[in-house]
Amino acid sequence: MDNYNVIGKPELRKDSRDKVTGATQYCCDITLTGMLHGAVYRSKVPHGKIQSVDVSGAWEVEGVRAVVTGKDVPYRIGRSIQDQTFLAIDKVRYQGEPIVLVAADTLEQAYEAVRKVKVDIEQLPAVNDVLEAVEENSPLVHEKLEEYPHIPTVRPVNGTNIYDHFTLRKGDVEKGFAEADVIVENEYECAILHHAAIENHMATAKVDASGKITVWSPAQSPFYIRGELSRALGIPENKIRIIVPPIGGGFGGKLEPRAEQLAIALAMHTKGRPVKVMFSREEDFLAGTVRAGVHFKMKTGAKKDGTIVAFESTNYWDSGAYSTISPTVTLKANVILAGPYEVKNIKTDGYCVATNKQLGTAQRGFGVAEASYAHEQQMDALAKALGMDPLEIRMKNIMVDGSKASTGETLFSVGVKECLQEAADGIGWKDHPISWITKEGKIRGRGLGTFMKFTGTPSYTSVTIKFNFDGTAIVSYSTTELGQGVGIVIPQIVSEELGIPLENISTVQVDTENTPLDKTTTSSRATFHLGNAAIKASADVKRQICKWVAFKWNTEENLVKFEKGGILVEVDAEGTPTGRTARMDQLDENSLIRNGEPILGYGSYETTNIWHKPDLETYQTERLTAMWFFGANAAEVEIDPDTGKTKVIKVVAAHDIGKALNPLGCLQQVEGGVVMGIGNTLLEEFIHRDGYLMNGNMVDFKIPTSMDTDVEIEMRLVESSPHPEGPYGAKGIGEPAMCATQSAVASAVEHALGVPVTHVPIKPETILEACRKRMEESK
Amino acid sequence: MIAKFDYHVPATLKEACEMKQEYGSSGVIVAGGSDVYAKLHDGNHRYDHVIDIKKIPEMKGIEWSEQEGLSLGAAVTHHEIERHPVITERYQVLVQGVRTVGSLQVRNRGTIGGNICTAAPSADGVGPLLVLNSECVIHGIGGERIVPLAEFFTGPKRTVLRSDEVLVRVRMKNPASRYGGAYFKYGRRNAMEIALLNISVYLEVDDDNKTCTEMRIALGTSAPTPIRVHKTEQYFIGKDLTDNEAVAKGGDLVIEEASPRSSWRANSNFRLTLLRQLVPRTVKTAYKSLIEE
Amino acid sequence: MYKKEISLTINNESYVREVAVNRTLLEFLREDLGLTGAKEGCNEGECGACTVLVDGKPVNSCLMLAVEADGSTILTIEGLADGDKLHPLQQAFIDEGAVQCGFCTPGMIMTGKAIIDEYGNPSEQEIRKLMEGNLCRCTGYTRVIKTVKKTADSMVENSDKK
Ligand SMILES: Cc1cc2nc3c(=O)[nH]c(=O)nc-3n(C[C@H](O)[C@H](O)[C@H](O)COP(=O)(O)OP(=O)(O)OC[C@H]3O[C@@H](n4cnc5c(N)ncnc54)[C@H](O)[C@@H]3O)c2cc1C
Ligand code: FES
Ligand code: FES
Repeated sequence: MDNYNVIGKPELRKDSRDKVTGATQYCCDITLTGMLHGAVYRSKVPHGKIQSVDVSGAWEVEGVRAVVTGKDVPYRIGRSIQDQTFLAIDKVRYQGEPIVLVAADTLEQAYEAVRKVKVDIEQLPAVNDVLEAVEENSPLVHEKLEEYPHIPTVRPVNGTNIYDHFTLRKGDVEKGFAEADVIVENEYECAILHHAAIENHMATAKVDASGKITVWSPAQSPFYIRGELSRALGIPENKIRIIVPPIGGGFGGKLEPRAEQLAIALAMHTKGRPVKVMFSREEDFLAGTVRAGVHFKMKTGAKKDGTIVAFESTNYWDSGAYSTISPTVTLKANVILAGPYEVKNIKTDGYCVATNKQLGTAQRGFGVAEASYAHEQQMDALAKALGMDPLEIRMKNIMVDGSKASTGETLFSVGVKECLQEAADGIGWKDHPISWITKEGKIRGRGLGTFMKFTGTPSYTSVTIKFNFDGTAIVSYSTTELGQGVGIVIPQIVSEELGIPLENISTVQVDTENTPLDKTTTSSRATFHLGNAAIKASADVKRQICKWVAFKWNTEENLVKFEKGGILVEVDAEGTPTGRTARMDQLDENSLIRNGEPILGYGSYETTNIWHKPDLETYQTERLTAMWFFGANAAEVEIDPDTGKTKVIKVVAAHDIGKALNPLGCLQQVEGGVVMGIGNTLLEEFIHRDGYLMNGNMVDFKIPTSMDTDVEIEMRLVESSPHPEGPYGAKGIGEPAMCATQSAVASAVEHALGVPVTHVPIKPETILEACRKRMEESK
Repeated sequence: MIAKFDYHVPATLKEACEMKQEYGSSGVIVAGGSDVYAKLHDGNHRYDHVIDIKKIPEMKGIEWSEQEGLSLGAAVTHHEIERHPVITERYQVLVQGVRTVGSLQVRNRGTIGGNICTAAPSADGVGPLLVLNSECVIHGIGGERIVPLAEFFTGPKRTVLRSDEVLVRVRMKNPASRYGGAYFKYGRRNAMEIALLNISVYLEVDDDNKTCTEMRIALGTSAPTPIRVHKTEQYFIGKDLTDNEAVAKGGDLVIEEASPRSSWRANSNFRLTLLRQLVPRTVKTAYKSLIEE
Repeated sequence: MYKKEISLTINNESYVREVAVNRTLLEFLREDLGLTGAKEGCNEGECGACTVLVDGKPVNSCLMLAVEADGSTILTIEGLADGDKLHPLQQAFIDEGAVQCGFCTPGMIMTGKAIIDEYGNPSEQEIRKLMEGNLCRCTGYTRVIKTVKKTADSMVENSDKK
C-alpha cells in the first residue's frame, strides 16, 4: 500500500460551507456600481434574410442607454471556423439568434425596449434534418462556408452544409470484410439534447476608457474565451480580463462564449458603465449550446470465433447553425468509434453538418457517450449473430496493454478488461440470464457498455503557490470549479507534497489577469495536467524553502533535505543526518522563514513533446494523446409492458482511474454522471419542427427528477493500471463518469426486448411495440 | 420579469365579479398564480389588471360533514387537500390526483379552483372530482348558480363561466362507505409532468365483493376537455371485477370514447394504446384498494 | 395600484418596503434586499432553485408576487443558520458531500428543512416525492435524499432524548 497522508482520502470540499449558507456569490449574484441591464431581441424564425431592423422604438423607452445592432459589432468568432458574428447581420440561422441588444437602467426597461424593436425577416426554408442537409439540393445554412477563415485541420466542403469531413483509415477494410464470417450493419441515432445546468448563461462586461475589457462570467474555460474574443476584436490578450466566479454547472455547455460577446458589445457603447446580460431559461435553451445530434451508419465484420476483423462507419453530426467546437466532437467520436476493442481494419467518415438548429457543441464526453452507445449496440448485434454471450464477445476483442488503437498507436496502461470484468461481476452477469420476466409481469434485462476516450493533446497548464511566512499556502490555477471538485483535489496534492495540513491551503478565484495560464476545463484533464503542474510547483516551493533554511542554519543549500511528511533534515557531506530538523508546519514557530526571501512556487505541465501529429487523411500517428481513459458500466433495467416505461434498477460503474486521489470526489462524479446518462438515454431530447424548438422549458425538456433516479449505483475503481505520467498514477473521471451509462442501459433494453435500440432517447412508443412481441413469444 | 399591471384585491365576491366584468380581456383572475404568473414571465403575455381573489372569505376553507359531504373553497391549495385528515381517509382518489400536481412548492400555491378554471385537458385535480360527481358553485353579479363539474368545460381553456363569473366552491357528496378509487397519471417522467394522459376510477361492488354496481371513469388529455366515459362505465355494471378478460375488454371500449389528439408531445395512436392497457389496470388497482381495505 | 407598501418578517428581521406590484418575491429578495441565496433557474416554477419558506411552507418565489407576501414570515437560506451554528441539514449537506456546483443547494435545503418540519421523519421514498420540484444536474439526487433522511433521523432521535 502507498502511504500517503492526504492522497487517496475522501476529503470534503472546501467551498461547501459557503454554498449551504447562500454566501457563495455566483455570477448572477454580483452587482456592480452603475451597472446597466441588457436584454436581447432574438430571431423568432430559424432561417431567414434580415430585410430591415428598426430600433427607433427602443430608444424611446425611458432609461435606455444603448441599442446595438449587428453592424455596430461586425466581429467574428469560431473555434474551428470563424462563421459566427456577435449579432446576426444579414441572415438569421437559428431560432433565438441575437439580432439587437439593449442596455437600460432596469431590466424591466430593457425588456420593454426589446419589445419595441421591429425586425423584418424574409423567411427561408429551414434545414431541419441532418441527412437531408447533406443532400445535394438542400438549402444552405451558410452560402459561402469556404470563405470563412478556419483552422487547417478542419476541412469545410464547398457549396454544401458540411463544416468538416473527418477521415480515419487503418489497415484495409475491404480485405477485412472479405475475411469476415458475419457482418452486421445497422444505423443508430442520438437526439440533440441540452446540458441543462441549473445556472443559465450570463455575463457582465465593462469597458474602461483605455479600452480594456473586463468580463465576469461562468466561463468553463476563460482562456479559451479570451483567445476567441482577442482574435475577434483585435484586442491583445492582456486587455481582456475574464473573472470566473463559482459556476453553477457546466458539463460542456459553458465552453463557448454565449453571453460574453453580447455583454461586451453593449459595454462598448455605455461609456464605461458595466452591463449585465442574463439569459432566461428559454433563451438558454434556444441560444445556449446543445449536444449535437448524430446519425451513425455502422458495419462490423467478425470471424466465427468472435474476432472482429473490420469496422466501417459513416456518421453525420447535427451541429446546428454555427460550427463552434463541433468538428472536435466529430473527431473525438470517430477515433474511438470501434470501441475499446482491437480491430485491425477501420474506416470512418465523420461529417460535421450545418442545420438551422441550436449550436451543437461538446457535452461531458465530447461525443464518446454517443459513440459508445453505437459500438456497444454493434457488439450486442454481433453476439446475437454469432450466438455468443455478449460478455464473451467483448472479452474476446477487448484492448489490453500493447493493443493497437484505431490510430495505429500502441497503447499502455490499459485497464479496460479489468473494468469490464468488474462491471459484469457487479451486476451478477454469470448468475442470471440476460433477460427474464418477473412475477409481476415486468421484463428485466441486463446490459454492458464500455468506452475509451482520449484527452485533448497537446495541452498545457500551470500552477503557482504563494507560500506565506506562517506556513499557509495559496494555490492559483485557472481550471474552473464547475462543481467537479478541482478545488479539493489540487490542495490535496499540494498538502501531500509540502507536508502541510489541508486546512492551511486555500485557492484563488480564477481570473485570466491573476491566475496562471491554462488551456481549457474540458476533457477531464484537470487532475492529470493540473496535478502534475501542482507537483512541480510544490517542488519549486520546497527548493526555495530548503535554500532559505540552509541560510538560517548557516549551512550549504544542498545539505538541507526535504523528507516525506514535511520534515526538513540537515545532513553532513556524507549524507548522514546531523540531528538538526524542522517541520514544515512549524517553520514559523522557529522563525525559519519569516522576513526571509518571499517564496513563490511555479510549475507547468504541457504535452507537446509527447504528441505526434496525426496524418490528416488517415489519422494514423505514433501517439495521439497524453492519456487514454477506459471504463465499463453494467446495467439492469425493468420494463413495464403496459406503459412502455423503462426503470433502471442498478448501474455498476467500473473506471480505470489509475489512482483515485479523492474517492469521495470520484463517487460524486459517478453518481451524478450515471444519472445524467440515464436522463440522456431515457428522457432527454430536443424536439424540432422545421427548425422550431418545441420543448424549450424545464417541464418539456425532461432532465431526471428525484422521482426518476431511484437507482442503485455501485462504483468500482480499478487502480491496476496507473498512468506512468499521471500524478500518483492518476487519470481522470469527470467525463468518463457518464460515457458508458447510455450504452449499458441501451444494451440492457436491447437484451430485455430482443430488438436493437436504434434511437436514443429510448421512447415508450418504440418499447411498447417491441414489448408486445416479446410477451407474445414468451406465452 | 412580469410586465407592469394594476393589482386589485377584491374583498368580496361582488367586487370580484364587478372587476372581472369591467376589465374583460385586459384583466385576469389570480388565485395561486402558478399558471398565470408562469405565463406572464415569458413576456409574450400581459394583462393590465390582475384581480387577486385569495382574500375573499367564501373562496377559502375546507368544509365537511356527514350529511353535506365535502366542500372545497376555490382558493384551497392542493397541499391543503393532500394533508386534510378527512380527505385523506374518505377521498383517497382526490388525494392521489392532487398529489401529482407539479411539486410540493407548486401545490403550496396552486389551488383547486385554478386547476379547474384553467380548463386544461390534463388537469390532475379534475378527473378525481369528476368521478366524485362534484358540482361547481359559481357566483356572478346576478347571484349564484350551480353547475355540475361534468358540464363546466366547453372546450380546451374554455368554461361556462360568463364574463362576470367566478368559481367559488366545488362540492361533492360523500362517497359510499365502501368504494374503490384509483388515479393513474402517465408522463414521460415520474414527476414535474403535464399528463400525457390520466385516468380516474371510482367503483362500488355488490355484497359478493366482485360484481360491479357502480363505475365512474374519467380521462384527462384524451379529449379536448377532461371527460367521463359513460358507455364504458355502463359496460362494467354487473361484471365480475375479478374476471381479467372482462376487465380487459373495458380497455377496448374506452378507446371508442376517447379522442386524443396528436401533437409533438405524443401521437394519438400511442395515447390510445396506453388507454387500452391502462384503463383496465387502473380499474384493477381501484378494485384492489377496495378489497384490501 | 402599481406600487404597494408591504411589511413582512424575513429571517427574523422586519422590513417595511414599497414595491412595484409586478415584482416577484424572488426579485424583491435578490435585488431589493440583496438576499441572493435563492437563485433563478427558470422563473417558471420548474426548477425549485428559488425555493424559500413562506410561513413555513416551501414555495417557488419566482411565481409569487412580493405584495402577496405582505404580512408573512419568510425564511431564506441566509436565515437558516443560528449565528455560526449551521442548521443540522446544512451541516449534513457538507459532511455527506451532497453539494457539487451548489446552485440548486439553497433550494434543496429549504425544501428539505420544510419537509422535516412538516413530516417529522418521512421515508426515503416520501422524501424523493416531496423533493421532486428541486432539480439538480450534478449530484444525481442520491446523496441529497440520503442526507435529508439521515438528518431527519437524527433530529427525531435528538428530540426524543430531550
Ligand atoms: C411548474 C408547474 C408544474 C405544474 N404541474 C401541474 C401538474 O402536474 N398538474 C396540473 O394539473 N397542473 C399543473 N400545473 C398547473 C397549475 O399549477 C395548476 O393548474 C394549479 O392548480 C393552478 O392553480 P392556481 O391557483 O395557481 O391558478 P392561477 O394561476 O391563479 O389561475 C389559473 C387560471 O384559473 C383562473 N382562475 C383561478 N381561480 C379562479 C376562480 N376562483 N374563478 C374563476 N377563475 C379562476 C385564472 O384566471 C387563470 O386563468 C403546474 C404549474 C407549474 C408552474
Ligand atoms: S426559478 Fe423558480 S422554480 Fe425555477
Ligand atoms: S449541485 Fe449542481 S445543480 Fe445541484
